[in-house]
Amino acid sequence: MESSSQDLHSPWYGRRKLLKMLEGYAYLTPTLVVLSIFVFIPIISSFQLSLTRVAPFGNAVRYVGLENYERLLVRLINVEAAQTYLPYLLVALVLSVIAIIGYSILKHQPFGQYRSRLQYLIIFVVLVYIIAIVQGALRVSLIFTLGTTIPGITISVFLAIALSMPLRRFSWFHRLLIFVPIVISSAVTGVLFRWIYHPVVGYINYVLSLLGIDGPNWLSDADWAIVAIMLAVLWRQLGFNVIIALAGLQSISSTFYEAAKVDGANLWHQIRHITLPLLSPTLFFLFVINTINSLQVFGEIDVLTQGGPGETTRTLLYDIYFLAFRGTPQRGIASAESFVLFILIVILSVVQFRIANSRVHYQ
Amino acid sequence: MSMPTSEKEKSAIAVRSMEERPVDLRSEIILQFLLFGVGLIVSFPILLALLSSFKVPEDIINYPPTLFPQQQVHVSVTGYDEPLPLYQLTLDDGTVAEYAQVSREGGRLYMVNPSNPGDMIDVAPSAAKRIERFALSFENYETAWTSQPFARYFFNSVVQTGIIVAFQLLFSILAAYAFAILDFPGRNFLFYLIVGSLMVPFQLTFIPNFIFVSELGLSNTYIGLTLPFLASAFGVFLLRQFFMSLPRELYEAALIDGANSWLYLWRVVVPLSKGAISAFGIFSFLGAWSQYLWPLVITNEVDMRTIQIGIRFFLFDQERGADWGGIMATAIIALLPTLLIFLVAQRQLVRGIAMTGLKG
Amino acid sequence: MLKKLSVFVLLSVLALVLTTTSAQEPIELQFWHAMGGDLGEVVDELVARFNESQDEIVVTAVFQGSYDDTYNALLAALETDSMPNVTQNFDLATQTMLDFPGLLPANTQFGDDFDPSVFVPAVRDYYSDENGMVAMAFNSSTPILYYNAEIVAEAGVDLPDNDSLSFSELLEACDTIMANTDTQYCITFGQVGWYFEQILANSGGLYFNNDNGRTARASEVMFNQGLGVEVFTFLTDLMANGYAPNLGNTWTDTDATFLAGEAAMIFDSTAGARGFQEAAEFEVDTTYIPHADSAERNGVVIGGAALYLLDSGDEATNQAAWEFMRFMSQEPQQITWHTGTGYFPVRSSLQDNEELQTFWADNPNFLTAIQQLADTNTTLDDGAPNYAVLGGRAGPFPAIRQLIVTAYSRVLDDGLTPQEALDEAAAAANQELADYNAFFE
Repeated sequence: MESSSQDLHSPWYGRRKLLKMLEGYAYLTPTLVVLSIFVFIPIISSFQLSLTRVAPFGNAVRYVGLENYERLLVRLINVEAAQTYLPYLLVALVLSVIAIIGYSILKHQPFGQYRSRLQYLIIFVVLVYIIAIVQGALRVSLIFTLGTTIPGITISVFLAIALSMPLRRFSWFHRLLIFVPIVISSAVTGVLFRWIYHPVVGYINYVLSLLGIDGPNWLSDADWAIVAIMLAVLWRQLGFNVIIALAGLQSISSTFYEAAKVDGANLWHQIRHITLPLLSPTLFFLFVINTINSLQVFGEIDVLTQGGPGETTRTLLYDIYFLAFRGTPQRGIASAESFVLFILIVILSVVQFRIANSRVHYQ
Repeated sequence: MSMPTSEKEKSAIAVRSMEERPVDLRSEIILQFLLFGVGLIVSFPILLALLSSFKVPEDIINYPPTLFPQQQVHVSVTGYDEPLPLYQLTLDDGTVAEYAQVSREGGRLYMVNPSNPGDMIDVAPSAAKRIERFALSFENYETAWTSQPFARYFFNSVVQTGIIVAFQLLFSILAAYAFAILDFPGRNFLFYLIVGSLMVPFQLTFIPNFIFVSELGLSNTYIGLTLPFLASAFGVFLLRQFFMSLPRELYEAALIDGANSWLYLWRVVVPLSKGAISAFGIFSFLGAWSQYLWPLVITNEVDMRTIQIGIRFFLFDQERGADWGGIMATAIIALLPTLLIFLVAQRQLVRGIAMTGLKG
Repeated sequence: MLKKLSVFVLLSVLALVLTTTSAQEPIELQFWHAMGGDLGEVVDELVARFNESQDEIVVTAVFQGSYDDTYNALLAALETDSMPNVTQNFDLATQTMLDFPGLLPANTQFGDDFDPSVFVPAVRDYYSDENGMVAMAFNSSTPILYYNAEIVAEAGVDLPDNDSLSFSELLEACDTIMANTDTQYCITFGQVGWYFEQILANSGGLYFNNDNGRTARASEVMFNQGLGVEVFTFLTDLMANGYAPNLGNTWTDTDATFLAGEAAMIFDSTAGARGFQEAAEFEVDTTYIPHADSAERNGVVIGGAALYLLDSGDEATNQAAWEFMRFMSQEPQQITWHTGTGYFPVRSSLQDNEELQTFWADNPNFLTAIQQLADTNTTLDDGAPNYAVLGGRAGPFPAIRQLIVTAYSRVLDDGLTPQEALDEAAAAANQELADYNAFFE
């Protein structure tokens, strides 16, 4: 950060700087202490646990080394597909680079201008590859996260823009109706949707039947169950997302819009060139939080499908819960899988931070 | 932000600022319909739960599903102690009549004419249609509320949530301020470390935390219930994003005016971020209020349980499977306190959010 | 001298403390259970009755949520040494409980005045090892076939009062019902693993090797052979051919389907009898669950849960806990329990009890379960135990049950044959068994 120029020649400069540094650490201490005791240190003991297999009552423990991880690897990654598709991945990456270089030549622009586009293309290609080679709970988790974050944030941003319009009346009423799911816990969300999805007496299929559509068997059809859970989660997170997006919108200075209007920009241009770029810190925040939340959804899955039918809605987190807390508890392998989930979340977040560094604009 | 459609409107911009100027009438009508439609869809599940919670068991499982609670009409018939349920019958000759049901045996309904108790017939169930009218039943709430000591649970939840919210607010404001405004070595590393802790799945830390807190002898205490949640990485992250949107010049100006950074935090940053802070306060409240797994294992005495445990116990009671009315009533009880707090705070929240950004 | 005196004083103080505690302070016991709602109220009533019946022991009953929740609470308590004295755990966890070092098998507390033969054999033997009962059966249930008597009568089908249909007889009845009435489905049941286990047992099939894991630790599953495939084919065909709606792994949606009159029959637990009776707008009748065409009817395995005595380290406390468990299984308590909940009485003598006879006359559906269990052949013709109906026993049984849930989806969604799906489940189950047994080698 830029230093305050008026301090530079003051004799107190060094000491004040030291004090200010200490002040920063002092403010952080309570948070760091709590997080260290309850988040960082337990990670270590969990890692030790992940190298063992534990009898249900913990009365017998066997050290198994990395065997838990090996088993998970086989369960979560289709090794055969990973090898088969690897050449395709490499070809696609090379083609991406060539395409962007070609595009920059065509446009007579320096290549550096398109670096971020290349970055997106590469992320997209790698993502497709990853989705093609993962299986089981990992695949469910990834699809579920993609299917909740992107539509959820898109809908929320447009709703927030609509809500931020200065209406003559009922503004508060619309906000209330749209915010209200925020008060509902994920377990209760599950209960409400279970009732709505009910194959025989549920509302959704009844309404669909009035429209002449034969609704799917939402929770027991292997293809629809995950969609059903996505909808429930989208619904519960909507209030949160809209509130945050609205807060972000309100903090955009109106002078930008006024300037745009003088230039004669239409609504879409305003959204595209002012709202979205200036909203980018908020969008970034929403993406990170939504990704993390989606990977940790529990209540809806527990109430709606318990991971079924088959294992089509068993996310990593639900798999961990199932292994550690249901039926025959297997805490060793559950710990190992928690680490896999942790690593996945870290990778996704680092990718998001990277994109953010090149794209997020602070006013 | 809609595009001004006429020259007349464009000139209106000159006299009114962006915030005060309502949208044009056509956009207003479109937006009103659109937002109301979306709002209705979004709030429908809650509305449905509310209506269903007032239904009697016979009414709740019906095809086609009904929206409003109804109860079958019962009539007193001379010669019978209890009022009898009333049906509309389609008789063999095609006439329609109202009869009350006396009994139901061997696949036949035995009916009596309420105005003439001597007139008795028996019909197939398919020929009888229940006569119903709108009526609210509070039976489900009674069942749900009396199933466990909810008043005590409620008190525990209030204490637990209060402690968590207060500490999370304080600790997060301090840390977010340090990250957003102050400068010190390792700032970015520590920030990523804290945001990174958001990514640690709860499952990973759950068992070690449980062992630690119980070994301190804090099971079945309010401290034990709240200790692991006194700091919030989410809060630090959220508030830091907001604090960073404050212009840096403001800070430098304040320092020149002789304020120290502690004063700047409480006199400038916090008042200007009221919206963001109250938003986080609400999220923190909602998060703490709906906690389930931790209170479940850290308490095993009925007196220390929180409302969520009571609710989950009721909801997931397999033997109660068919009692959807009771389940809906419990769901409503569960969301009522959060809904009330939200309704009260919502105006504050939205007003606060509107003030958050520094305009001009 | 001084030393002797101090020892004397110390001893007398100690004696005083001991006598006063035993004379005045009652022994306090913690009893954890998983019975919520109406069931929990009956538990509280029985516990209050016990506390009033004597003044040496005070039992506190604590509801701990579902069976899984109760188990997790127990695990949590184990970490901190604050275990209850008596806990309830469900049928499939029997082997895990036996392997739990904190367990005090009930048979170690039997006195001369305790006679295990008064219990219904199927119930007693389910919770027994070679030394006799390890747990006190408390809430026992079995699956029965409930049907909508009005639809069945309308279709002109006559279901036997108390007998088991073969698969083809049931399908024949279904064809008639679906042809003669406008009911959408003939039958409904959740893909929960339990019905597969029960119908397999009713057909005389074993789930695990080593006599269903009862003469030695189970090391392999046997459900993917012969009878198991026949039973699983029957169950999945009901859904694949439109006789039953595919509602997934559920206990509740099936209830709603049955109660809405959309299905004529339902497999469900006896514990649901009261609920159906109260919520149904039609007459509900019951009969036994079906059996495979290639086998005779054998009977059912008891489900539900039992009470386990946990070692507190103090002999007097353990004895008191046993007194409580024994009290819960005595006749008056069992009558209250049965009439209040639908779980059946665990003492054989109660079948002739007058009070219950009157109750059953008014509530015939409660009797079906009891007769179905009484009609269970716990010994084979040659006098050997019928291990099929004694029920499987294995450490990871709960995890293995889940594999059957997955197998349903593999057949119905992924198009595997029942044999393929069961083979896949069996491979995973055998791995679970090997992993578990490795702890105890």
